[in-house]
Amino acid sequence: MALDRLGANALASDSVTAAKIANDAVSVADIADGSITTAKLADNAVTGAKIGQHEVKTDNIESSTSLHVDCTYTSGDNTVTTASTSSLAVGMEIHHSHGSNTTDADHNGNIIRAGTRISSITNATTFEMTIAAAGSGTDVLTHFTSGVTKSKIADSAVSIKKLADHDQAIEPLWTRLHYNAGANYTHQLISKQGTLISAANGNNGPAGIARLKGTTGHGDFIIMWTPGYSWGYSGIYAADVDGFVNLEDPAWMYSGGQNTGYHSYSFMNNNSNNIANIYHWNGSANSLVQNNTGLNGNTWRLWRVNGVLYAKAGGYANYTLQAANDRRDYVIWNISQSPNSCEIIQATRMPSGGA
Amino acid sequence: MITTYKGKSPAVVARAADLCGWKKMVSIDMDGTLNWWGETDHPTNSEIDAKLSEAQDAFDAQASKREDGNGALGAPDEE
Repeated sequence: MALDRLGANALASDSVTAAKIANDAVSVADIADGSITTAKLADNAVTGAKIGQHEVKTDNIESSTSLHVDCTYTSGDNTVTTASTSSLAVGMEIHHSHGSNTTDADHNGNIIRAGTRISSITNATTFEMTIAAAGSGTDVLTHFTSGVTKSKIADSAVSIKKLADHDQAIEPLWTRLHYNAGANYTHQLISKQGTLISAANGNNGPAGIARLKGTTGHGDFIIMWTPGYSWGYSGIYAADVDGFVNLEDPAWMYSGGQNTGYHSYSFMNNNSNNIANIYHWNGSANSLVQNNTGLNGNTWRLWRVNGVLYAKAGGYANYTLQAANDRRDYVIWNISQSPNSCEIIQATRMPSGGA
Repeated sequence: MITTYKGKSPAVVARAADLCGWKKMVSIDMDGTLNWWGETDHPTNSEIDAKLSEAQDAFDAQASKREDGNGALGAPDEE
């Protein structure tokens, strides 16, 4: 009689060893749903190749924490004491409180080595570090982080749109100078503490292009500038940030900002054509929305209040560029055509509302 | 007649326009066409082309005498 089934009591507990299971003898179907527990997975056993694309969800990422706690270190020792370990967790990164994870002399402390983490919590007042302290110190203010930490973000990987709102705010400062039409180190193109960009190098001669620091954001803002009044066009471009793939690209080009599907505006003034014009690119076509005689030394304005975008060229009447629902985040740069100039007088977001 | 001004010096083109008697602005668009910024009585491309050589000579003559090599029309003297 063939034996095709063993009773539950026929095998002693723990009697079937791995050596008695043939290769490929256990199929996935033989494993009960939910039967493989964390305890059955070896440390570091799950590799990247076993995780499908898009399988790691936001919910699965530990929430970021950042806290500062006084700790006492002993040189050469992994053990650290503190008033309470209740807020600490295994795996937290440990840095000097000023944010440096280095131990060089320029970053005071010289206690916590780069890459140090909490390896275990011993008790209510003691924990172990993965790397022994490089120096001793009592009640050293220490920075603990977890979740998405600084070490997981590559240098220069955070673009302007990922910064805190305040750090993205537009400022009256020409930055990221780009040489144009043969300009070089012999030409001073930015002056007045970064507020004036100018070129007086002949018709279509060497000039510079620069970008105002930050962007307008999606709310209220105001920008005021004085364009030059000479042969070349002076003024600014304002274009929707979303129309650009990457504003931080070193090769970011300062064209007219006429990106398909995205709005932009040009504010142009010169004396050779003697015009002070405003153009609107609606994503597919450019149109002249205000046609005026050129202005010499007047202040121009671009501002937004509650989704209404306005412009004003010198003493000419206010012009509504968009009557409602303008929530675009604009990047601003100058028109570059020698001889010309553009002095930024004011550029700021107005988080509490404009007027 | 030149069909594209891409790669031409904008300063030389400005000089050529000036030699044609055009005192207003002219620039070269990214597609290589001349941009007269809405003006209608500007020189033709043929007229510009006819002055390009003379404009280039004037540009080079000025550039050779300057440390910054700037041959643009109206460039102020170097310090």
